[in-house]
Amino acid sequence: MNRRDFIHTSTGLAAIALMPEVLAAAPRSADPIGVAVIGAGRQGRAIMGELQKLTAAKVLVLCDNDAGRLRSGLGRAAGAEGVDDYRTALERRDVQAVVIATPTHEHRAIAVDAMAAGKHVYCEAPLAHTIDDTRAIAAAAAGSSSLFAAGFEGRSNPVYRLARTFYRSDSVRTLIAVRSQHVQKTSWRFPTSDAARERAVNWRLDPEVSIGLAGELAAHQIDVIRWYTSLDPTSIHGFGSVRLWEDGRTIADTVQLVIGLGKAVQMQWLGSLATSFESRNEILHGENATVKLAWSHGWMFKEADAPTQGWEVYANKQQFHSDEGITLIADATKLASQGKLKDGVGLPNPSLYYALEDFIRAIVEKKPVGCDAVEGAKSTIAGILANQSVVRGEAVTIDAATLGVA
Amino acid sequence: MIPRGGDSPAAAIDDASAATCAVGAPEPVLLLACEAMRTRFELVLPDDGRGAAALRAVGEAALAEIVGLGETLSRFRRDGVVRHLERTAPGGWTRVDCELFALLSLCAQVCRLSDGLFDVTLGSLMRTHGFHGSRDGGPDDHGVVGLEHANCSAGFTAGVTTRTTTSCDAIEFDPVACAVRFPRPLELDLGGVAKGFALDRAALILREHGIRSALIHGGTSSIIAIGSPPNAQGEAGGQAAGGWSIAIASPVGNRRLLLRDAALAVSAPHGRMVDGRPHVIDPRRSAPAVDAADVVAIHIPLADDPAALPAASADAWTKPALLESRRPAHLPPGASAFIVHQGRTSLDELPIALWA
Repeated sequence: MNRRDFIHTSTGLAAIALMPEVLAAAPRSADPIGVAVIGAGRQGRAIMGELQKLTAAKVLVLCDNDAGRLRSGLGRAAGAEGVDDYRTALERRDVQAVVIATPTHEHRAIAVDAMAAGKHVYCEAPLAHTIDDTRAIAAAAAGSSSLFAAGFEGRSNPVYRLARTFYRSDSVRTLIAVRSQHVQKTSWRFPTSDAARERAVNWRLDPEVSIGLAGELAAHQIDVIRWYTSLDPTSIHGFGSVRLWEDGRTIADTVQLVIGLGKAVQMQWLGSLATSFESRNEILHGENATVKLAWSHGWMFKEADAPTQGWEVYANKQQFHSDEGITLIADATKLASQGKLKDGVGLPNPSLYYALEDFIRAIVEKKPVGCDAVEGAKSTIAGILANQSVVRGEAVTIDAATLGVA
Repeated sequence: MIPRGGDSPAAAIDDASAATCAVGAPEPVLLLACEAMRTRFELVLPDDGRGAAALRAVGEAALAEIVGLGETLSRFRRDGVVRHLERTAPGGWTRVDCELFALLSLCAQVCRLSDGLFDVTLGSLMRTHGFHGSRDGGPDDHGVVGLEHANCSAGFTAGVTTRTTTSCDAIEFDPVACAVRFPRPLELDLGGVAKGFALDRAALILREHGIRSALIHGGTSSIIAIGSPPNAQGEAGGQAAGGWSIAIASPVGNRRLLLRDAALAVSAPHGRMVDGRPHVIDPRRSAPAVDAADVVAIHIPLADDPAALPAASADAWTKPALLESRRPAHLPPGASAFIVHQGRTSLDELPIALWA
């Protein structure tokens, strides 16, 4: 390294050190937390994979009432017991925590029973498919000494946490508008070899229990925006139709939402199973900058007339057509000190890992969970109301009492 | 079927024959595709009477498995399991899911049986030789770039180097806990088996859901055939039932075989040249290979055991066959090899009845 490089690097390090560090060390525990995972579908198996990485947790039980899924899930976790009834898992005294990854409409009974059994609960989001069930879960959490974490992952995601510090420190300033989407070209239909289980397996397409794209997907992004802006939805107008999958379904495969956030700001959301372009992201347009979040990645696009902060000169940047984005790197200071700042683009683990890590840390270190029952319930209810708007074809007005929980 | 950028042109599903066997027949087929590991995976599912929506659901589940594995097995994604192991396994035992454990065990086994000609711990060596380039010149965020999958834009930057960081014992295994440990830091590169492993997992999903006829491939170089296409004709004389028609391109002319209930891996260094040299590392020299075979194909029958990894195994064994230009001595039972070297063809033990 020559003198010029040294000066450039050391100056850059000092500047980048001003960026907050949001990657914490994984929790440690002499006695790993015994965990039961309820639900061995795709999400349940992903949860198993991420829990393997946490030395402070050990999966003791995997539960599913589908023998094939259970067998497949057990193939991924050494030493876990397979059961077909979640109550069997709750009876084990060495199970301290339960992770619920079943269909949404089955969450309530499991969550309430688990908390009654004194287990800590991580419940995949949305929390439930009805407002009543959502409130029942929140009420059970409020009356329990156990921890309850809602699986709205954005709140635990280090890139999102980093971007939020910028958002809330005036880098964006006045919020102009929010755009968001979650699209993936897929039928949303899952296979089963047992015709009798077709409806149970494809609950997402069953209008009796499904809350559609708005409830299942938009709720996550509504939660991110609520967390960033501290603004709750005050109105939602949803539009939906079947654009591609004309297979007899009535659940819309393409949905658009216009969500009022107070009087002046609106959030537009697109959900679709008919296109994959740009996948999943949230864009917050501000007076000084626009923040784009894409789960493992985040960028900030500065306005030309916005004040410049010292570290920006040394930050990693990416070009998007005619715009240049500053890459938001979760562990920038550490990586800059190693000369590996560019290697830091993206996250060391999937977003799901950090949500589970937060949950285990909360148990071991008695720290707050990433998303508690009250916040999780509000975002869930917003998603349920959004789906109601899509189904009924009319706007809904939301007051604080509607989103509130006891 | 046109190989996409980054694919080896070594093998192709024979369009004409496939049309005869699968598309031109009265039975409709469902063709699904996804991008993973910087290549295109395709799945052909003939109508089996369960209905198009249900058939698609099975196919989508199989492709979702491939996409997920593509993300986690990439050494260029920070959030993948490869980077996770590189960070944590040198410090102690690290749990992995038991399916990945099985893959790593297979890699270690092939490494030992091939005297180190196949070695997934060659990551640093490959980086030294510029095999880890990417299309935009930076780290590849989205795909497995491996021995036979790396982009060719980067040139060789070093000559013969001393091999100090690779060994078949570089990974220690705890089969009870499905945990691994690296005695010393290393760079894993699963690019030589990732496509095959993904196909094995996808094929298992297909078979678990009752699929009896399907063809799935990754970049046309790793292939699994389940059963045969509808109305496939048997060979003359009734020696064998028909299969999926696969063409293997080679300097001595294209060869066509009928693949049925088997995995096939094809590798040809001429499809990957960098500065006039083949894009294959020879671990014995710690340098790009010289005098490698022109084309190798490894054929391994599917097993009933759901834990078997025939496509990953076939992928792995192409490397020793390529470097030694002959049938590896310790191929798994039932495996066959097809090798073209300096204009001479060795059919070895590949059942001739398969050749069309």
